[in-house]
Amino acid sequence: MRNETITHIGARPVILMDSISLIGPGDKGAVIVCGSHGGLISGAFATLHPPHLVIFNDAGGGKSGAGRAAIAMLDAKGIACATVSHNSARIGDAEDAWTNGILSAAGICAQGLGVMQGQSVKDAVRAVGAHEPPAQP
Amino acid sequence: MNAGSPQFTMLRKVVEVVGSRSVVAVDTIAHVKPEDEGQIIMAGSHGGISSGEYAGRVPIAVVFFNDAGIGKDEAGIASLPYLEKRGIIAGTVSHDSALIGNALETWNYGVISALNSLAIEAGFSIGEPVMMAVRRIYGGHQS
Repeated sequence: MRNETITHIGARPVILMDSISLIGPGDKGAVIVCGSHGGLISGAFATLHPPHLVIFNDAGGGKSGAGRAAIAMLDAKGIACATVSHNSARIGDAEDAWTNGILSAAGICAQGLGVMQGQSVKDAVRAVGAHEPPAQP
Repeated sequence: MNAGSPQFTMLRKVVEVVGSRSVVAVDTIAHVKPEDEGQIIMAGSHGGISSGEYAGRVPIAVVFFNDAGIGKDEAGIASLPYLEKRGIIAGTVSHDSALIGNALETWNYGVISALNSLAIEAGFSIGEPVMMAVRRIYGGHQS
């Protein structure tokens, strides 16, 4: 199961995390590209160590839009959250989300960072990077 | 289930005993434990490979996940053959029947959408509510 920093934007790590259950104290303030669905429990995991932005898989939305429910949950806590379409990226596979994911929804906090529905994940992370001060040498 | 609640409880609970086995509901398959050996797991998690890796760590008897709408390359049900190789009966419920991430929804409302061969041999069938199927196959309740 992958849990790996693949790049940085400013001083923030960009982490590919197959399951949000792997989140730890060192991930606070990171950008997390996650293979998990965006249900409430995934939002609850993210709340434990608040990231700067977390991107989940939308699981096709499903009953009551449960696959995207973390977006509103995390917006209420001031945490930026978005989802990729389950047709663009394999659920459970963070690398596929990073390489091929297309955003199906973005919360209010995420939009404030320049993250928008329809962007690729890489473009969304670049947009967040544009809001960041350069890393200190 | 209040999305704005500061305290979200991640469920892990025995919800029923059927015959000699417990039905253990876990909102996330990351919370499966060694004591679940031989038991029936109802997970809120998607049925992708990462979930299969968690489930395969314990020799559970049966596990059901949410199919996450199946999606790209059928990733939402990709753990089923993975678990079959490990001797575990596995299936999914439709993401339209149960809230993903919620194990009680899987158990109470889940309708079976995909099965591995071991599950078919055990008597599960696509389209049946998973609760009814578990009670029918493992006993303890008339359905």
